[in-house]
Amino acid sequence: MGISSDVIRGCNDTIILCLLLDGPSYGYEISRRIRVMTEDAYIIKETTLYSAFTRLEKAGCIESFPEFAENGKRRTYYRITEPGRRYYREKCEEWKLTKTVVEKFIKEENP
Amino acid sequence: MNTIRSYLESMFAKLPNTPDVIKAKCELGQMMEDKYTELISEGKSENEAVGQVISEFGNLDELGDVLGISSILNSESERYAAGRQVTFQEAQSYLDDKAHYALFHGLGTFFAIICSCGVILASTLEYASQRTIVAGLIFLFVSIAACVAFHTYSSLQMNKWDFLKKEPCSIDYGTAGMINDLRRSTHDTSILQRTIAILLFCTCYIPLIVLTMLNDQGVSAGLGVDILLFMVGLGVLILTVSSSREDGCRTLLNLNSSPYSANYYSQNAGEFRYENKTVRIIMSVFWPTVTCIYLIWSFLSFAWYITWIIWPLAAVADTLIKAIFGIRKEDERS
Repeated sequence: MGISSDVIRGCNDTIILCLLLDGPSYGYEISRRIRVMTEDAYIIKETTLYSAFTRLEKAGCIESFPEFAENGKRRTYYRITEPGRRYYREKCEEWKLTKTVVEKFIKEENP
Repeated sequence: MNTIRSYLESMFAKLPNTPDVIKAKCELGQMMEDKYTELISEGKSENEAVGQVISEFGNLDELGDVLGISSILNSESERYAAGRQVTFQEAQSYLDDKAHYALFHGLGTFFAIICSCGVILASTLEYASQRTIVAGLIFLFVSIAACVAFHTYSSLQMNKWDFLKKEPCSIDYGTAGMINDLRRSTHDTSILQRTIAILLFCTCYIPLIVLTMLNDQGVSAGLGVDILLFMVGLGVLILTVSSSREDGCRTLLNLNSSPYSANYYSQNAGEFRYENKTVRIIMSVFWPTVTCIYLIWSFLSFAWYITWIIWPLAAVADTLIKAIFGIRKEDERS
Protein backbone atom coordinates (compact mmCIF):
# COMPACT_ATOMS: atom_id res chain seq x y z
CA MET A 1 0.00 0.00 0.00
CA GLY A 2 1.39 3.37 -1.01
CA ILE A 3 1.36 6.63 0.85
CA SER A 4 -1.50 8.94 -0.03
CA SER A 5 -0.08 12.14 -1.45
CA ASP A 6 -2.88 14.10 0.20
CA VAL A 7 -1.81 13.00 3.67
CA ILE A 8 1.90 13.54 3.26
CA ARG A 9 1.60 16.88 1.47
CA GLY A 10 1.57 18.81 4.74
CA CYS A 11 4.77 17.12 5.81
CA ASN A 12 6.89 17.71 2.70
CA ASP A 13 8.23 20.97 4.11
CA THR A 14 9.33 19.23 7.30
CA ILE A 15 11.04 16.48 5.35
CA ILE A 16 12.92 18.84 3.05
CA LEU A 17 13.97 21.22 5.85
CA CYS A 18 15.15 18.28 7.93
CA LEU A 19 17.41 17.08 5.12
CA LEU A 20 18.77 20.61 4.60
CA LEU A 21 19.74 20.79 8.28
CA ASP A 22 22.65 18.47 7.39
CA GLY A 23 23.98 20.98 4.87
CA PRO A 24 23.17 22.48 1.45
CA SER A 25 21.84 20.10 -1.14
CA TYR A 26 20.19 20.00 -4.56
CA GLY A 27 16.98 18.63 -6.02
CA TYR A 28 17.82 15.10 -7.01
CA GLU A 29 20.04 14.50 -4.00
CA ILE A 30 17.13 15.35 -1.71
CA SER A 31 14.66 13.15 -3.55
CA ARG A 32 17.19 10.31 -3.48
CA ARG A 33 17.77 10.67 0.26
CA ILE A 34 14.03 10.66 0.92
CA ARG A 35 13.74 7.45 -1.03
CA VAL A 36 16.66 5.80 0.70
CA MET A 37 15.65 6.89 4.21
CA THR A 38 12.08 5.66 3.78
CA GLU A 39 13.25 2.47 2.06
CA ASP A 40 11.24 3.28 -1.07
CA ALA A 41 8.04 3.83 0.90
CA TYR A 42 7.87 7.47 -0.14
CA ILE A 43 9.03 8.57 -3.57
CA ILE A 44 8.59 12.29 -3.92
CA LYS A 45 7.53 13.52 -7.36
CA GLU A 46 9.78 16.04 -9.10
CA THR A 47 6.95 18.54 -9.41
CA THR A 48 6.06 18.22 -5.72
CA LEU A 49 9.66 18.79 -4.74
CA TYR A 50 10.10 21.78 -7.01
CA SER A 51 6.90 23.46 -5.86
CA ALA A 52 7.97 22.94 -2.23
CA PHE A 53 11.38 24.52 -2.94
CA THR A 54 9.77 27.52 -4.56
CA ARG A 55 7.27 27.97 -1.77
CA LEU A 56 9.89 27.64 0.96
CA GLU A 57 12.19 30.06 -0.82
CA LYS A 58 9.45 32.65 -1.16
CA ALA A 59 8.69 32.27 2.53
CA GLY A 60 12.37 32.88 3.29
CA CYS A 61 12.93 29.45 4.83
CA ILE A 62 15.58 28.41 2.34
CA GLU A 63 17.98 30.16 -0.02
CA SER A 64 19.10 28.96 -3.40
CA PHE A 65 22.54 29.43 -4.94
CA PRO A 66 24.16 28.09 -8.07
CA GLU A 67 27.04 25.68 -7.76
CA PHE A 68 29.07 23.81 -10.31
CA ALA A 69 29.11 20.10 -9.84
CA GLU A 70 32.25 18.01 -10.33
CA ASN A 71 31.27 17.26 -13.95
CA GLY A 72 30.91 20.95 -14.73
CA LYS A 73 27.14 21.01 -14.62
CA ARG A 74 25.44 23.92 -12.98
CA ARG A 75 23.07 22.94 -10.22
CA THR A 76 20.83 24.95 -7.97
CA TYR A 77 21.67 24.20 -4.36
CA TYR A 78 19.46 25.08 -1.44
CA ARG A 79 20.47 25.93 2.09
CA ILE A 80 18.30 26.42 5.15
CA THR A 81 18.02 29.89 6.72
CA GLU A 82 17.49 30.94 10.33
CA PRO A 83 13.72 31.49 9.81
CA GLY A 84 13.73 28.08 8.14
CA ARG A 85 15.15 26.45 11.24
CA ARG A 86 12.48 28.15 13.36
CA TYR A 87 9.79 27.04 10.94
CA TYR A 88 11.16 23.50 11.06
CA ARG A 89 10.92 23.40 14.86
CA GLU A 90 7.37 24.72 14.69
CA LYS A 91 6.46 22.05 12.15
CA CYS A 92 7.97 19.36 14.37
CA GLU A 93 5.87 20.51 17.33
CA GLU A 94 2.83 20.67 15.09
CA TRP A 95 3.43 17.13 13.88
CA LYS A 96 3.82 15.78 17.40
CA LEU A 97 0.47 17.28 18.30
CA THR A 98 -1.15 16.03 15.09
CA LYS A 99 0.23 12.60 15.72
CA THR A 100 -1.18 12.35 19.25
CA VAL A 101 -4.55 13.56 18.02
CA VAL A 102 -4.77 11.17 15.10
CA GLU A 103 -3.39 8.27 17.13
CA LYS A 104 -6.40 8.47 19.40
CA PHE A 105 -8.54 7.40 16.47
CA ILE A 106 -6.34 4.60 15.22
CA LYS A 107 -7.40 1.24 16.55
CA GLU A 108 -7.50 -2.31 15.42
CA GLU A 109 -11.09 -3.12 14.61
CA ASN A 110 -12.35 -6.01 16.68
CA PRO A 111 -14.05 -8.64 14.62
CA MET B 1 17.66 11.09 -22.50
CA ASN B 2 16.18 12.67 -25.59
CA THR B 3 12.88 11.05 -24.75
CA ILE B 4 12.87 12.70 -21.35
CA ARG B 5 13.79 16.05 -22.79
CA SER B 6 11.01 15.92 -25.35
CA TYR B 7 8.59 14.75 -22.68
CA LEU B 8 9.45 17.82 -20.63
CA GLU B 9 9.27 20.08 -23.66
CA SER B 10 5.82 18.90 -24.57
CA MET B 11 4.59 19.15 -20.98
CA PHE B 12 5.61 22.79 -21.00
CA ALA B 13 4.62 23.47 -24.58
CA LYS B 14 1.33 25.14 -23.73
CA LEU B 15 2.67 27.34 -20.95
CA PRO B 16 3.69 30.97 -21.37
CA ASN B 17 7.41 31.65 -21.43
CA THR B 18 7.67 33.61 -18.21
CA PRO B 19 10.97 33.61 -16.31
CA ASP B 20 9.37 31.49 -13.58
CA VAL B 21 8.24 28.88 -16.05
CA ILE B 22 11.63 28.71 -17.76
CA LYS B 23 13.37 28.36 -14.41
CA ALA B 24 11.01 25.57 -13.40
CA LYS B 25 11.63 23.77 -16.66
CA CYS B 26 15.41 23.94 -16.20
CA GLU B 27 15.26 22.76 -12.60
CA LEU B 28 12.90 19.89 -13.34
CA GLY B 29 15.00 18.92 -16.33
CA GLN B 30 18.11 18.86 -14.14
CA MET B 31 16.42 16.64 -11.56
CA MET B 32 15.18 14.26 -14.21
CA GLU B 33 18.58 14.09 -15.82
CA ASP B 34 20.25 13.35 -12.48
CA LYS B 35 17.76 10.60 -11.78
CA TYR B 36 18.12 9.17 -15.26
CA THR B 37 21.91 9.13 -15.01
CA GLU B 38 21.79 7.35 -11.69
CA LEU B 39 19.25 4.76 -12.89
CA ILE B 40 21.41 4.00 -15.90
CA SER B 41 24.50 3.65 -13.73
CA GLU B 42 22.54 1.22 -11.54
CA GLY B 43 22.26 -0.95 -14.62
CA LYS B 44 18.69 -0.19 -15.68
CA SER B 45 17.90 -0.30 -19.36
CA GLU B 46 17.24 2.92 -21.26
CA ASN B 47 13.54 2.07 -21.49
CA GLU B 48 13.14 1.25 -17.81
CA ALA B 49 14.98 4.38 -16.76
CA VAL B 50 12.91 6.63 -19.01
CA GLY B 51 9.70 4.96 -17.85
CA GLN B 52 10.56 5.40 -14.19
CA VAL B 53 11.70 9.01 -14.52
CA ILE B 54 8.55 9.97 -16.37
CA SER B 55 6.20 8.10 -14.06
CA GLU B 56 7.76 9.76 -11.03
CA PHE B 57 7.73 13.21 -12.56
CA GLY B 58 4.38 14.18 -11.10
CA ASN B 59 1.78 16.57 -12.35
CA LEU B 60 2.19 20.11 -13.61
CA ASP B 61 -0.98 21.08 -11.73
CA GLU B 62 1.14 21.18 -8.60
CA LEU B 63 3.21 23.98 -10.03
CA GLY B 64 0.17 26.08 -10.83
CA ASP B 65 0.35 28.21 -7.71
CA VAL B 66 4.07 28.76 -7.57
CA LEU B 67 4.28 29.71 -11.23
CA GLY B 68 1.14 31.81 -11.30
CA ILE B 69 -0.31 29.80 -14.11
CA SER B 70 -3.14 28.06 -12.26
CA SER B 71 -5.74 29.51 -14.56
CA ILE B 72 -4.14 27.97 -17.63
CA LEU B 73 -3.66 24.60 -16.00
CA ASN B 74 -7.15 24.57 -14.57
CA SER B 75 -8.82 25.28 -17.85
CA GLU B 76 -6.76 22.47 -19.30
CA SER B 77 -7.69 19.92 -16.69
CA GLU B 78 -11.34 20.87 -16.82
CA ARG B 79 -11.38 20.13 -20.48
CA TYR B 80 -10.07 16.66 -19.89
CA ALA B 81 -11.77 16.01 -16.60
CA ALA B 82 -14.39 13.79 -18.16
CA GLY B 83 -11.88 11.28 -19.42
CA ARG B 84 -9.84 8.64 -17.77
CA GLN B 85 -6.17 9.60 -17.86
CA VAL B 86 -4.05 7.10 -19.70
CA THR B 87 -0.62 7.24 -18.11
CA PHE B 88 2.67 7.10 -19.91
CA GLN B 89 3.25 3.53 -18.77
CA GLU B 90 -0.18 2.42 -19.87
CA ALA B 91 0.45 3.95 -23.25
CA GLN B 92 3.76 2.16 -23.50
CA SER B 93 2.39 -1.22 -22.54
CA TYR B 94 -0.56 -0.70 -24.85
CA LEU B 95 1.82 -0.20 -27.74
CA ASP B 96 3.83 -3.27 -26.70
CA ASP B 97 0.71 -5.39 -26.49
CA LYS B 98 -0.46 -4.02 -29.78
CA ALA B 99 2.79 -5.10 -31.41
CA HIS B 100 2.39 -8.61 -29.98
CA TYR B 101 -1.18 -8.69 -31.09
CA ALA B 102 -0.24 -7.67 -34.62
CA LEU B 103 2.40 -10.36 -34.84
CA PHE B 104 0.06 -13.14 -33.70
CA HIS B 105 -2.85 -11.83 -35.69
CA GLY B 106 -0.65 -11.59 -38.77
CA LEU B 107 0.64 -15.13 -38.23
CA GLY B 108 -2.95 -16.36 -37.91
CA THR B 109 -3.85 -14.74 -41.20
CA PHE B 110 -0.66 -16.09 -42.75
CA PHE B 111 -1.67 -19.64 -41.83
CA ALA B 112 -5.19 -19.06 -43.11
CA ILE B 113 -3.75 -18.04 -46.46
CA ILE B 114 -1.28 -20.89 -46.82
CA CYS B 115 -3.50 -23.62 -45.33
CA SER B 116 -4.43 -25.11 -48.68
CA CYS B 117 -0.84 -25.19 -49.97
CA GLY B 118 -0.26 -28.81 -48.99
CA VAL B 119 -3.41 -30.06 -50.63
CA ILE B 120 -2.80 -28.04 -53.78
CA LEU B 121 0.68 -29.44 -54.14
CA ALA B 122 -0.42 -32.99 -53.32
CA SER B 123 -3.27 -32.96 -55.79
CA THR B 124 -1.07 -31.78 -58.63
CA LEU B 125 1.63 -34.38 -58.05
CA GLU B 126 1.79 -36.88 -60.88
CA TYR B 127 2.30 -39.80 -58.58
CA ALA B 128 -0.19 -38.49 -56.04
CA SER B 129 -0.75 -41.29 -53.62
CA GLN B 130 -3.22 -41.58 -50.80
CA ARG B 131 -0.44 -40.67 -48.43
CA THR B 132 0.51 -37.37 -50.00
CA ILE B 133 -3.13 -36.29 -50.06
CA VAL B 134 -3.48 -37.16 -46.38
CA ALA B 135 -0.31 -35.23 -45.60
CA GLY B 136 -1.76 -32.26 -47.47
CA LEU B 137 -5.00 -32.51 -45.53
CA ILE B 138 -3.15 -32.72 -42.23
CA PHE B 139 -1.27 -29.57 -43.19
CA LEU B 140 -4.61 -27.93 -43.97
CA PHE B 141 -6.14 -28.78 -40.61
CA VAL B 142 -3.03 -27.93 -38.62
CA SER B 143 -2.85 -24.56 -40.38
CA ILE B 144 -6.51 -23.85 -39.67
CA ALA B 145 -5.99 -24.81 -36.03
CA ALA B 146 -2.94 -22.54 -35.85
CA CYS B 147 -4.91 -19.74 -37.48
CA VAL B 148 -7.77 -20.03 -34.99
CA ALA B 149 -5.38 -20.35 -32.06
CA PHE B 150 -3.34 -17.29 -33.05
CA HIS B 151 -6.43 -15.20 -33.68
CA THR B 152 -8.11 -16.19 -30.43
CA TYR B 153 -4.97 -15.68 -28.38
CA SER B 154 -4.24 -12.30 -29.89
CA SER B 155 -7.77 -10.98 -29.43
CA LEU B 156 -7.90 -12.19 -25.84
CA GLN B 157 -4.69 -10.31 -25.16
CA MET B 158 -6.17 -7.09 -26.46
CA ASN B 159 -9.38 -7.44 -24.46
CA LYS B 160 -7.99 -5.55 -21.51
CA TRP B 161 -7.51 -2.47 -23.69
CA ASP B 162 -11.15 -2.33 -24.70
CA PHE B 163 -11.66 0.59 -22.37
CA LEU B 164 -9.63 2.78 -24.71
CA LYS B 165 -12.40 2.44 -27.24
CA LYS B 166 -15.38 2.28 -24.95
CA GLU B 167 -14.65 4.85 -22.25
CA PRO B 168 -13.72 8.43 -22.81
CA CYS B 169 -9.99 8.64 -22.20
CA SER B 170 -7.29 11.22 -22.56
CA ILE B 171 -3.52 11.42 -22.52
CA ASP B 172 -1.41 14.30 -21.33
CA TYR B 173 0.75 16.39 -23.62
CA GLY B 174 3.93 14.69 -22.52
CA THR B 175 2.71 11.25 -23.42
CA ALA B 176 1.26 12.51 -26.68
CA GLY B 177 4.61 14.06 -27.55
CA MET B 178 6.35 10.80 -26.82
CA ILE B 179 4.00 8.84 -29.02
CA ASN B 180 4.47 11.35 -31.78
CA ASP B 181 8.24 10.92 -31.52
CA LEU B 182 7.89 7.18 -31.65
CA ARG B 183 5.65 7.43 -34.64
CA ARG B 184 8.09 9.64 -36.44
CA SER B 185 11.03 7.42 -35.62
CA THR B 186 9.30 4.34 -36.99
CA HIS B 187 7.96 6.11 -40.03
CA ASP B 188 10.78 5.02 -42.32
CA THR B 189 10.48 1.40 -41.21
CA SER B 190 6.76 1.50 -41.87
CA ILE B 191 7.27 2.79 -45.38
CA LEU B 192 9.93 0.17 -46.06
CA GLN B 193 7.67 -2.59 -44.75
CA ARG B 194 4.77 -1.42 -46.85
CA THR B 195 6.93 -1.25 -49.94
CA ILE B 196 8.14 -4.82 -49.37
CA ALA B 197 4.57 -6.00 -48.91
CA ILE B 198 3.40 -4.32 -52.10
CA LEU B 199 6.37 -5.71 -53.99
CA LEU B 200 5.44 -9.17 -52.76
CA PHE B 201 1.88 -8.68 -53.95
CA CYS B 202 2.97 -7.39 -57.33
CA THR B 203 5.48 -10.13 -58.00
CA CYS B 204 3.58 -13.07 -56.54
CA TYR B 205 2.36 -14.21 -59.96
CA ILE B 206 5.81 -14.33 -61.50
CA PRO B 207 6.88 -17.73 -60.09
CA LEU B 208 3.59 -19.22 -61.20
CA ILE B 209 3.95 -17.88 -64.74
CA VAL B 210 7.61 -18.83 -65.01
CA LEU B 211 7.04 -22.31 -63.63
CA THR B 212 4.13 -23.05 -65.96
CA MET B 213 6.08 -21.72 -68.94
CA LEU B 214 9.07 -23.91 -68.16
CA ASN B 215 7.04 -27.02 -67.66
CA ASP B 216 3.32 -27.17 -68.23
CA GLN B 217 2.72 -30.23 -66.14
CA GLY B 218 0.60 -30.06 -63.04
CA VAL B 219 3.34 -30.16 -60.44
CA SER B 220 4.95 -26.88 -61.39
CA ALA B 221 1.56 -25.16 -61.46
CA GLY B 222 0.84 -26.42 -57.97
CA LEU B 223 4.25 -25.27 -56.80
CA GLY B 224 3.66 -21.90 -58.45
CA VAL B 225 0.34 -21.47 -56.65
CA ASP B 226 1.99 -22.45 -53.38
CA ILE B 227 4.72 -19.86 -53.83
CA LEU B 228 2.07 -17.31 -54.73
CA LEU B 229 0.13 -18.04 -51.56
CA PHE B 230 3.30 -17.88 -49.47
CA MET B 231 4.21 -14.51 -50.90
CA VAL B 232 0.72 -13.13 -50.37
CA GLY B 233 0.69 -14.52 -46.83
CA LEU B 234 4.04 -12.96 -46.06
CA GLY B 235 2.93 -9.65 -47.55
CA VAL B 236 -0.22 -9.63 -45.43
CA LEU B 237 1.82 -10.48 -42.33
CA ILE B 238 4.24 -7.61 -42.92
CA LEU B 239 1.38 -5.25 -43.68
CA THR B 240 -0.50 -6.25 -40.52
CA VAL B 241 2.53 -5.67 -38.33
CA SER B 242 3.36 -2.30 -39.85
CA SER B 243 -0.17 -0.92 -39.97
CA SER B 244 -0.92 -2.05 -36.44
CA ARG B 245 1.89 0.07 -35.01
CA GLU B 246 0.54 3.10 -36.83
CA ASP B 247 -2.93 2.20 -35.71
CA GLY B 248 -1.87 1.92 -32.06
CA CYS B 249 -0.22 5.34 -32.11
CA ARG B 250 -3.23 6.83 -33.83
CA THR B 251 -5.66 5.33 -31.33
CA LEU B 252 -3.73 6.90 -28.48
CA LEU B 253 -3.27 10.26 -30.15
CA ASN B 254 -6.92 10.43 -31.11
CA LEU B 255 -8.02 9.98 -27.52
CA ASN B 256 -7.66 13.68 -26.91
CA SER B 257 -9.43 14.88 -29.99
CA SER B 258 -12.68 13.21 -29.06
CA PRO B 259 -12.81 13.08 -25.26
CA TYR B 260 -16.54 13.29 -24.97
CA SER B 261 -17.65 11.41 -28.00
CA ALA B 262 -15.04 8.67 -27.61
CA ASN B 263 -17.66 6.33 -26.27
CA TYR B 264 -20.17 6.83 -28.99
CA TYR B 265 -17.75 7.34 -31.79
CA SER B 266 -15.52 4.34 -31.33
CA GLN B 267 -18.14 1.81 -30.46
CA ASN B 268 -19.82 2.37 -33.75
CA ALA B 269 -16.92 3.24 -35.96
CA GLY B 270 -16.35 0.69 -38.64
CA GLU B 271 -19.51 -1.25 -37.93
CA PHE B 272 -21.76 -1.81 -40.82
CA ARG B 273 -25.48 -1.91 -40.82
CA TYR B 274 -27.65 -3.13 -43.59
CA GLU B 275 -30.85 -1.33 -44.35
CA ASN B 276 -32.49 -4.35 -45.86
CA LYS B 277 -33.35 -6.97 -43.27
CA THR B 278 -32.95 -9.92 -45.64
CA VAL B 279 -29.50 -8.74 -46.66
CA ARG B 280 -28.58 -8.35 -43.03
CA ILE B 281 -29.54 -11.94 -42.24
CA ILE B 282 -27.79 -13.31 -45.29
CA MET B 283 -24.64 -11.33 -44.53
CA SER B 284 -24.49 -12.54 -40.95
CA VAL B 285 -23.78 -16.04 -42.24
CA PHE B 286 -21.78 -14.95 -45.28
CA TRP B 287 -18.28 -16.05 -44.27
CA PRO B 288 -19.28 -19.34 -42.62
CA THR B 289 -21.24 -20.19 -45.79
CA VAL B 290 -18.27 -19.36 -47.97
CA THR B 291 -16.08 -21.60 -45.83
CA CYS B 292 -18.59 -24.43 -46.13
CA ILE B 293 -18.85 -24.05 -49.88
CA TYR B 294 -15.08 -24.00 -50.17
CA LEU B 295 -14.60 -27.15 -48.13
CA ILE B 296 -17.49 -29.06 -49.71
CA TRP B 297 -16.52 -28.13 -53.25
CA SER B 298 -12.87 -28.94 -52.63
CA PHE B 299 -13.50 -32.28 -51.00
CA LEU B 300 -16.03 -33.35 -53.62
CA SER B 301 -14.03 -32.31 -56.65
CA PHE B 302 -10.52 -32.53 -55.19
CA ALA B 303 -9.71 -29.60 -57.41
CA TRP B 304 -7.75 -27.77 -54.70
CA TYR B 305 -5.60 -26.02 -57.22
CA ILE B 306 -8.57 -23.94 -58.33
CA THR B 307 -11.05 -23.88 -55.46
CA TRP B 308 -9.07 -21.23 -53.59
CA ILE B 309 -10.44 -18.77 -56.13
CA ILE B 310 -13.59 -18.73 -54.01
CA TRP B 311 -11.83 -16.59 -51.37
CA PRO B 312 -10.94 -13.59 -53.51
CA LEU B 313 -14.34 -13.84 -55.18
CA ALA B 314 -16.09 -13.92 -51.81
CA ALA B 315 -14.07 -10.94 -50.63
CA VAL B 316 -15.06 -8.97 -53.73
CA ALA B 317 -18.70 -9.96 -53.23
CA ASP B 318 -18.55 -8.93 -49.57
CA THR B 319 -17.14 -5.52 -50.44
CA LEU B 320 -19.71 -5.01 -53.17
CA ILE B 321 -22.63 -5.94 -50.94
CA LYS B 322 -21.33 -3.66 -48.23
CA ALA B 323 -20.97 -0.82 -50.70
CA ILE B 324 -24.47 -1.27 -52.11
CA PHE B 325 -26.56 -2.14 -49.08
CA GLY B 326 -24.51 -1.08 -46.11
CA ILE B 327 -24.20 2.21 -44.33
CA ARG B 328 -21.64 3.16 -41.80
CA LYS B 329 -23.26 4.24 -38.60
CA GLU B 330 -20.97 7.22 -38.21
CA ASP B 331 -22.07 8.53 -41.60
CA GLU B 332 -25.60 8.51 -40.38
CA ARG B 333 -24.70 10.71 -37.48
CA SER B 334 -23.07 13.40 -39.51
